[in-house]
Amino acid sequence: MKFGVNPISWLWVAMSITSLLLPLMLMFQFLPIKDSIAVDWFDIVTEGALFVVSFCWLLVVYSARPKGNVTSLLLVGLSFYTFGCYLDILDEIFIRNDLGIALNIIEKLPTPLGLTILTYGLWQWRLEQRVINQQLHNREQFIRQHYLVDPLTQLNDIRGFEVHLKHSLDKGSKFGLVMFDLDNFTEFNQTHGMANGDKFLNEVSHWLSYRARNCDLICRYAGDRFIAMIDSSDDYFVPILAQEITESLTAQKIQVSSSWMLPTEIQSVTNNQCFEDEIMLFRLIGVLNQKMETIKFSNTAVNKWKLQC
Amino acid sequence: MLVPAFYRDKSLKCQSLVASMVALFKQRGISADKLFKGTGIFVADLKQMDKLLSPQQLNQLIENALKLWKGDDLSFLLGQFWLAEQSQQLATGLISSSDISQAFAFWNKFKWLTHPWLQIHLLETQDYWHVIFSLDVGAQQHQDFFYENLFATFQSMYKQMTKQQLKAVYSFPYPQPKQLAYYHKYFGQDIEFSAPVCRMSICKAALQPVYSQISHNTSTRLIEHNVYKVLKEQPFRKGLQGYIRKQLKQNKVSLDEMAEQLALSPASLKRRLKECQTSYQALHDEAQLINALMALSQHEPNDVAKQLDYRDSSNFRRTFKRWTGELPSNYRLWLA
Repeated sequence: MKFGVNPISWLWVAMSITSLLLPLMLMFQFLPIKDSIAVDWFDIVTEGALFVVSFCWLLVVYSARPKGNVTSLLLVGLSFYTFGCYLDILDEIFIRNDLGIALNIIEKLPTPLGLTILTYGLWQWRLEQRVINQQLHNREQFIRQHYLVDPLTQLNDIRGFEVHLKHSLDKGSKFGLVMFDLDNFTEFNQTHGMANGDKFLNEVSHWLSYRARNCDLICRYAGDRFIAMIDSSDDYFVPILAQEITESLTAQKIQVSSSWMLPTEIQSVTNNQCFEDEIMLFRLIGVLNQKMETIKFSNTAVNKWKLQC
Repeated sequence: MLVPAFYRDKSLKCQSLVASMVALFKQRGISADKLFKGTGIFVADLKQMDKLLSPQQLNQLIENALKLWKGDDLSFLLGQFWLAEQSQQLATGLISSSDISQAFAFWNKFKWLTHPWLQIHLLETQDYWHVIFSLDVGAQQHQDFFYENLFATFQSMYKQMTKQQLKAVYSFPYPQPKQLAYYHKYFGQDIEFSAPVCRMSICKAALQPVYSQISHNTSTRLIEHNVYKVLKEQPFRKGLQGYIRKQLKQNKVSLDEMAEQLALSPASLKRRLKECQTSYQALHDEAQLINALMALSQHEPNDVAKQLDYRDSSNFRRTFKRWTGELPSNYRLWLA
């Protein structure tokens, strides 16, 4: 049985139940209970809320993160903290004036200990995140919004691309745009079925992000059409890169057509200050689409069933 | 005379749509049970070829599907697989057509078997085929889905028959959707939103010859005969909306007269229409608008007003503006 990305650890479940029951039983055995008048219910509610919330954090981290040192640190830290919150609640119910200093320290220790481990874990997580950012760089560049990610290929979708495009325009950075469109993908889908079509699209998206440089951004436009932002101010470079990617895909028996806009072409569109941002994006992508259509239209008759089955 | 199908009549033959939907969802890990929740369709029904759905079931199914599907491409994908899900007879009839207009005519004749939610109004001018689409059986509740799906089907069919992309001008009767990228990818750049009606216009000169896949010797007459037999077996051949719209396009019929024709009381006719999320007035306006738009492609607004029985042209202008927000003269060459 799984809980999120990890299997349920029965050892961990047993330990949590023990750590909840054991102090309760010990206190019942050795400590007197407060009168109901002396109990501060408000305190119990607030501390109870803290306990519940931190327990939920624990579950969230467990369900979302794959195993590893960072995950362990976060889990151990949160477990101690949650346990500390729990002891605080019990504290409100039992009278423990006559306990020795040593026991008092043991009772107070879990919270600060948990927070310390958690903090260390977060620091490690930051280092880990750097590595992941590097890995994902040509898929997301500067912004991470999970709802802008296309569920099939895990690339940013066109809305994600527009966010990046707008950001680059605002920054005034120079870039080229390239559009890739698979040839005869519909036929592929029809002959090989949707399952293989999905797999194929996924493969293409991996190839594209593998072949592009780390500073470029690859997104899924729609269907079997992809769009890339090429970080370069050089007019010669953009077609060369587009060509290279196309050829490397052809070597994998994946036929694509590509259309592009050179950095100077983009510059000439964006220099026109009277356009609003949205219209500018629309125009840029529109030009790419238009070029692609012309290429596709002249291609289709020639490239009959070019796709290797 | 055949009676039109009401919202809860089991009337629609759409196994092919349901089957391809189930297959797509299965592929993406969503079970058919989830898809069918609340529709009254059961997995066992899929095997029965003659099972009919009510418009209400169809709309509920589409609603479920749109809710469950991750991504914006459901209608487009379904369009691509449309032909593969059709019966042998229908598919052969389409593919063996000698040119595109013949294929279109064949499809149009039998569209109750494949697209029962559609109503089509054709206008041929010197250079163009204009096709105006309106929706039947309450399908306007998910109009973007149905139109996307339809045009994706056209695109895919056209490509299969001619090995070329279909170049056409499209207008959609709703504002720009969030999945605009898909429209550009599948339908090209000539797209207009918030139009008065949904239309597709194809330049006759741009139509490509059919790239023959099978010999044209297949007896088209025999195929037509067989498909026609299937069509004749259907208990219904029009939805309530389509029926009323067609009548209203031809002549002026009041609500009371229409109710009498359908052997209903005016109140229950109103109720029946409300089930489909529409009203008599809305259908009347739509029918008039389509007539006006078609007439405007050939005549001046003043003549159109006379043709459509308006007391004077200013009255017509006012009404037209109420429908579209613009003056008739702005639509003079819309369907040229």
